[in-house]
Amino acid sequence: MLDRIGNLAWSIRQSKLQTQLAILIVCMGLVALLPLLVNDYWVRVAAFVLINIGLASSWNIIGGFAGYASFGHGVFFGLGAFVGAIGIVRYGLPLPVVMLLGGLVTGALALLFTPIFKQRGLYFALSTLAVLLIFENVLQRWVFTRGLREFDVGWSVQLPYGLWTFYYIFLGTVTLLIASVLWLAKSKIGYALHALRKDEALASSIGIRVLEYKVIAFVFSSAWPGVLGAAFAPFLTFVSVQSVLDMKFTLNMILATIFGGAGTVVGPVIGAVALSAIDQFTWGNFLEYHRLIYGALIVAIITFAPGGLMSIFWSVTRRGKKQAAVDKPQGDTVRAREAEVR
Amino acid sequence: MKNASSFRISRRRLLQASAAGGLSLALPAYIGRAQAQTEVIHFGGSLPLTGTYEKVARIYRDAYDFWGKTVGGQITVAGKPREVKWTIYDDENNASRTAQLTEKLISDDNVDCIVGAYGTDTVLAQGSIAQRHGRALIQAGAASVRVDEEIGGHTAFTLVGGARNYYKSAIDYLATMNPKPATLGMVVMDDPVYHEHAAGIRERCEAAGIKIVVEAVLPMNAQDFRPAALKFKSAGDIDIIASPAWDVVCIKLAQEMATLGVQPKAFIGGHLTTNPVVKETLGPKLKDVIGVTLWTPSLKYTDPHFESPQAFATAFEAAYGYAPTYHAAMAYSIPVIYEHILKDADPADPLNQEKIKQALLQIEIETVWGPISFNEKGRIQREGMPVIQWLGDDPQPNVVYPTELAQAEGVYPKAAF
Amino acid sequence: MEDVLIYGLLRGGIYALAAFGFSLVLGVIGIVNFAHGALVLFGGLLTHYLATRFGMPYIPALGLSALGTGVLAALIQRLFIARTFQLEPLMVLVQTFGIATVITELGIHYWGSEERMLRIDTSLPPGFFLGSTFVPSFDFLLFVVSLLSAGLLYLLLQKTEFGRAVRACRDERQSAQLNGINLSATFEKTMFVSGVWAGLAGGMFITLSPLAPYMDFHWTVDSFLVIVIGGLGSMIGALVGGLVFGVLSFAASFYTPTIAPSVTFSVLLLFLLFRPQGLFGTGDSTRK
Repeated sequence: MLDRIGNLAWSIRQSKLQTQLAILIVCMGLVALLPLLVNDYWVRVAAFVLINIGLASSWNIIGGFAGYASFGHGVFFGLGAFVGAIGIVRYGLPLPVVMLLGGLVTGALALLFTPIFKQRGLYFALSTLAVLLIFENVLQRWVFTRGLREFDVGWSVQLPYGLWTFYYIFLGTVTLLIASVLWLAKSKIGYALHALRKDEALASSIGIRVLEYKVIAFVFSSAWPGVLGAAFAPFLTFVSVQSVLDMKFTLNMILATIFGGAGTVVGPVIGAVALSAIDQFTWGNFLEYHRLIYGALIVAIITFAPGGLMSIFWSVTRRGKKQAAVDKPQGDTVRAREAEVR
Repeated sequence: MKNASSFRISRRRLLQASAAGGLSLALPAYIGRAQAQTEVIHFGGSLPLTGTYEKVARIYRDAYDFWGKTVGGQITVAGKPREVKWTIYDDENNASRTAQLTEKLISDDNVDCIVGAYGTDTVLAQGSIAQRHGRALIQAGAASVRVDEEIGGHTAFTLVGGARNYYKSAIDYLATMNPKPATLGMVVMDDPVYHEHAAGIRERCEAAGIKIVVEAVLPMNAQDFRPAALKFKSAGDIDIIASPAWDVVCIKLAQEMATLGVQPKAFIGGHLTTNPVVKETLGPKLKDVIGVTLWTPSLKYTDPHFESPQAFATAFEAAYGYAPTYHAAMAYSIPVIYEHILKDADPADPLNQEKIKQALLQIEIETVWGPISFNEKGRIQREGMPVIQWLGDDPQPNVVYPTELAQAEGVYPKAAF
Repeated sequence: MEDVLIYGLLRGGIYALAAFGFSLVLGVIGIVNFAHGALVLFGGLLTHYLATRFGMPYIPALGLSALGTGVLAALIQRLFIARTFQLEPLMVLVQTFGIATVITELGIHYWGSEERMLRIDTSLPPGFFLGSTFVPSFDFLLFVVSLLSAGLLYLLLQKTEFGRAVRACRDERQSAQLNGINLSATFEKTMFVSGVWAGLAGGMFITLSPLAPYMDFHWTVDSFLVIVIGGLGSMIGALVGGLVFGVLSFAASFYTPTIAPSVTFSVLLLFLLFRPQGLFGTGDSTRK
């Protein structure tokens, strides 16, 4: 039984992009039926889960695929929210425009990170954290972003859309996001990232332009949070440094990805869902201990299963073949070899 | 060599996989559903029960609980008795979380009466969700004028006076000193509520002819208050130093001023000086420190359940082991107001939100918190804040202003830190 | 302004004292211990607890807490970090972040989350004047302890058997193993020393200013900033880094308080970009 599940999952993983996209569309179609089945509270929870899935999947591109842990990634989400707030409130732009703008602004900003990419590992992580903390301060103090009127701190963003509208906006955006990640994983970019994650010096020596691919991955992983952030602004209705640049967003991205399995496409998705479920459960039943449980869970997963839920899945269903899941890039190796990787 | 077909998937497999995928995403929704209703009147809200505001949140929660005890676990709704039920969630002082929880309270838990959260962002988030559902809420956790502007009068009804008014009486009091203070320095935490406090101080200083020589604006997460203390020191001898902020700021600032030798003639320690942690950490340094308090048990008000605020305070302390602060008086009053409105509600539709809102706009009631009536923005009509001073070698809080309420003569200039 | 300089240096002494252990762990084991701030608070709150609950005099309470913190740190190493330090640094970082959360939450459950300060009566005069600047005695004492610690730790690293093993693990790990140095024992001892100094810093700081469990993140970040400036693995670097950071952050808070975070983190960024090994860093600057 387990073997059959394992084989099915493996064949999905290795199948063509069109197949994977088809599965994605069907899944999301089912998720779209949710508001008809449950009350508004659960729709709201689901909307947050979708946002977390989106953020985790984005982070996974730079943190999982490329192996560059960005510790300040929440800055792109927060910036997107500010773009959304300022665009809607100060300039009266419609939501789709503002979402696009959010992605463009954060993507452009990501390009400025290029010098930071000369560093690796911890130094990279902490540089991104420093950038987040600087932006937090700047957005708070700069008159243009601080608020609409002189004494305002924060933006009140009111749009006449109901909860369901936002749910479908997030659902649609996240579907596109995951589709793009599926595409990326199979493309030569995905192959290059996989190579440089394993051994950057070696990848460089066989002709992969590592800096270029790192930057592309980073821009990709920053633009999507910008888009999501811009839609988040009217959803939350109040945008301020405290509400959108909270360290929690960054931490959740990282934890969801690691919990689910960094470097896989499905990992961030199930990680985000699992963490939300745990969160809901502990909140309701172990109120005073929920943070303790959260922390203990993090320690446990890293200590005993650092590959996350996906690695547990593979080791249970494909005993002995688990290693292949980590070593093989998602793309078809034959095609990748034929592709230009100069 | 592997068969090429193992890389292709049959249609059946495809459907199986997507069904599994889609359903698993919808799974959490089936965990927990709304429960059946019995004859219950359900109060609900969220508070920052964990995190930096944990202590204050506990006071609110205990006060809600105390009201429940006081009414014996049941009240009359539309002429018939109903059992009282409370659901208070922990929102960690996080706006997104509060929004979610408020949605849960309304849509999932089917709460009848919403009680306010604590903190500006959280109350606004709560109000935003309540507004979407056309619900009313009574809150005593956010003083900012934003509440009035965004959700006041049609959704939120606020029991705490405007932030701008908090410190006015303290300045007015000090302006009566002889010799009159000439200079003032203050820290301003960078957040709308504290800017409003500062605006009130500026207004009264201008009226009294007191010059503000230092205004140290600090980020909300500032840890080190020595630079601010040094700023005060560098400005020379300042008569009044004001810290219109929360308890930790008061503690740290007093500590640093004592260390650096900054000795103002008066130190306004904020509106949370009665929190036990202040006395525990500062000890004798608290002597002659001035605070503003929105309430003290020595006031003379009547209440549907208690003959005086002092009776309330005594009973509260007996039940929970600590003396109630103004938060307790405010929080307790929220369900009292609901109780009052629902008593004679229309039996056909007792929880009609429109009727409740109308009743709130017109209400005139007195509780341990004092006389309560709301203006058209849902804000309580309340002006002056009693000024207290911590007198004696084992400092105890005494009301020193206004004179009608004063328990003792104030001390000016204050003893050295 | 000399006031700012002097107070900055005094603050820097505290930062340095907290950062010694952090630097050692990062340099030797190669991990960023996100639970470091929690250790500082543990030491501080434990000191407070022993002094107030059991009426212990200050010095023994301080000593005992420092040792207790060291033991806690060594336990963390043995039970958790030992299993993961070979993985990517990100994993260990997240793990120590989880450990920090657990320690903080347990601390809150056991001690409560409110701020605590320890008022002690020393027979010292309140302070002395250096030029026109008033230097409080206990701050100065802390500064002196910091200087002495730097010296002591430096000697420890240079002259003792333990120090040699630590330096070997720091600089040439594989050769160290080939020479028979027990890696895990060395790591545990390193974490122990790190914990002792973190606890010492917390225990001394709690007499100056209140501490509460939720403050752990700030201490961890500050320690990290000190190390980036001073260089990892070096005790002198931690001292100099601490002093420089102390002056920098005090000056920023004094002259430009509202943008002080931007200033300090921009300096951090510059160091990370242009001089990642810090001022006195030993070892490979591009090591992961």
